Amino acid sequence: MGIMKLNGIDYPDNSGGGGGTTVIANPADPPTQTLNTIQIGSTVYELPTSGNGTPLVQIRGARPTEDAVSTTVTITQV
Amino acid sequence: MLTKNGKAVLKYMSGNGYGISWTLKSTAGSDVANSVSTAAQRGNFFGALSMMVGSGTTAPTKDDYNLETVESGLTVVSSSSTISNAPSYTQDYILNYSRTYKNSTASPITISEVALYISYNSNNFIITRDIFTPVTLQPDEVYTLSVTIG
Repeated sequence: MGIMKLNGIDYPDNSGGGGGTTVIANPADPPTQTLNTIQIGSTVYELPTSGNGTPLVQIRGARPTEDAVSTTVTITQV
Repeated sequence: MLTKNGKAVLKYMSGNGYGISWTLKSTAGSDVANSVSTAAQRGNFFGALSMMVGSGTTAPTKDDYNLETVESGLTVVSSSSTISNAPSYTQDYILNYSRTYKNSTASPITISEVALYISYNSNNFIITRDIFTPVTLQPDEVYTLSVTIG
């Protein structure tokens, strides 16, 4: 296989170690690094939501309190 | 289901002080401006909670401002609510309203929808509407219906 790069960084990244050990560079901290591109050989694949650090999974915000309010009905014979 | 009127009431409750004006849609379909400027008026507003039943089966929406088909042939035996000036912290809901109905007529009466409403200044404002599996009250039968907002 030819070279593979994640976010432009060689994978495996052997820059920090020798002896053929596979090392993936730790993401920058902070902020958490987001995977935007995968390069295999000379072809660069851009992930659909890449760019500007947009996360692939967004956490949905809490619902407004009013929508969380519900009603319960019971009917019983006396 | 909490209607838009019900949401407006909650918004009102989150207001600062008694000097609040807001608009609700009455059971007649009219937009009615309401205002409360004193503690006494506030008490009158929330003390006017009541219940109505009907025979409609259409799923409720937040835009409902009346029951689909109001049933007025039942006799109210008793009513109770948890509305209080000092609600308990352990009360894990906003409010509960219960009403006991008796069929004092000679014919069966079927009900399948219920609403809580507030009567204020000669208008009725539905704050909740729900449907349930139809229940037929035979003559002299008594049922208690309970609605909890929580």
